[in-house]
Amino acid sequence: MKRRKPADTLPLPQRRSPQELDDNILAYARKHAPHRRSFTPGAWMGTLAAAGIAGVALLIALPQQTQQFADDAVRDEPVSAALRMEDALAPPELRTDAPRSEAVSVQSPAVVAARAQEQHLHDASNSSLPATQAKATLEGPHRDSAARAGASQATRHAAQDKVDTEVPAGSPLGTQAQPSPSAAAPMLAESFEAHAASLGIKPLQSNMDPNAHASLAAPGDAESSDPAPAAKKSAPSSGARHSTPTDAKTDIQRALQACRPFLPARPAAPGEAAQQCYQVFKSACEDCALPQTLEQALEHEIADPAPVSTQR
Amino acid sequence: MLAYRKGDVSAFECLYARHKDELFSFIYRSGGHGAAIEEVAQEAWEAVVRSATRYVPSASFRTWLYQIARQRLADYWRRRDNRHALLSDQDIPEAADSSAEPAAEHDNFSAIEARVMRAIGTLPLEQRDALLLKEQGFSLAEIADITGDGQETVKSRLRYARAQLREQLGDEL
Repeated sequence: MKRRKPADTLPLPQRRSPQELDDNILAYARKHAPHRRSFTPGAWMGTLAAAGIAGVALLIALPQQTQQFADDAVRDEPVSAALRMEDALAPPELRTDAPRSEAVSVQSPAVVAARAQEQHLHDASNSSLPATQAKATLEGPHRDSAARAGASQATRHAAQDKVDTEVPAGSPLGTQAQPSPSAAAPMLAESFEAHAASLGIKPLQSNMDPNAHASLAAPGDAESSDPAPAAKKSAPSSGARHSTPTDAKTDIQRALQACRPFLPARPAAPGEAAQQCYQVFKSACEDCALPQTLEQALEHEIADPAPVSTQR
Repeated sequence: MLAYRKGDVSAFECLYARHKDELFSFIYRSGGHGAAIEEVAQEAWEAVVRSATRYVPSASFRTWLYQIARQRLADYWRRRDNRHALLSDQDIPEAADSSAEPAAEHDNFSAIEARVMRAIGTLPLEQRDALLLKEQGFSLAEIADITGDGQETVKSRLRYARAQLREQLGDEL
């Protein structure tokens, strides 16, 4: 027992807690100690509540944003609206399928242009449709009038010229709905190949894959399921030069004919036509195999312009 | 106590070592004797452990501890119906026997303590609590917090309690 007696306090007994009592109390305290929590329940509930609110907000905002994009696409693209109106007014054989029409209404200009090129490829390879109809399908607002009237070659050229004059100057691909050449490069390359095949141009050797441009063979060969024979028919090998001036001229002639539908306007000079055609090929084949012989022929023509006919 | 609320048992051990003897003495002076002191002390500390998760540091831990101890004492007196029990004459020698101090001094302090405890036992409960808490070193404000009374009330009770003890003990104080 510990005793002390300060002057200002009463002489009261002091008692020490027994050791047995200390052990009991400490054992009880250890047994009933609050558990260590690295993450409190309040924090869990707060996190879950925040995640739930964020999820609900996302679900609410997402459809509205999609609708906004659709409205913007319809508002900013009169071409899309015109195409949809034409689809509604066109005869069944010329009308595009419903899903495509819906997709065009909400897609970007690049996708719209790619769709048009794809449609052109389809029409060009389809022998049941006349060439005028296939051409009109590619050229948008003038396609129906030309197709319905069974327009002549001169009429088709007039429509083509009208479309070309509407295209802003400086556009390498010659279409307002084609914002980026690299975005539509593969599609443009395929379109060129199909158009060249429809014109009966012989296949041109690719500098990357000999079989990749087997579709440039004659129309009969283009539909062949085996690309090997067509590849064998490919004229010059990769990196080959023209043996005679006549061959080079023929290649340039073919190239200009093939790329003429993709040029922005009728070139004023032979050299300018080759320059524009070369730009078309470079932009179209930036990410794909480029017909090397054709490229060489165009480079030669740009360096040394010759009076080559650019008639279509 | 906040550390123990987060699961730190060593914090409670430190807290217990700091307050255990003081609280045990308070319970002893409040009229408990024998095993009743240990029973009340254990109940008080167990109540502290159970209330740890609800502990809010609005006042000092010591004040909170003595509030709990007073409640346990009140419960004990109600249960045993010995609210006005005083230390018996047998308790004083028993307490003296456990002392390790010299016999002369031990006897001297035991006699004084016995008389003081008897005098305290005659005080009303409110005055006795106020006097014992004051002897524990609490201020008037802290005593008012523990007992739930006003400071002036506590001050008045202390004055009456000291006057009565002075009357009973005379020159021994």
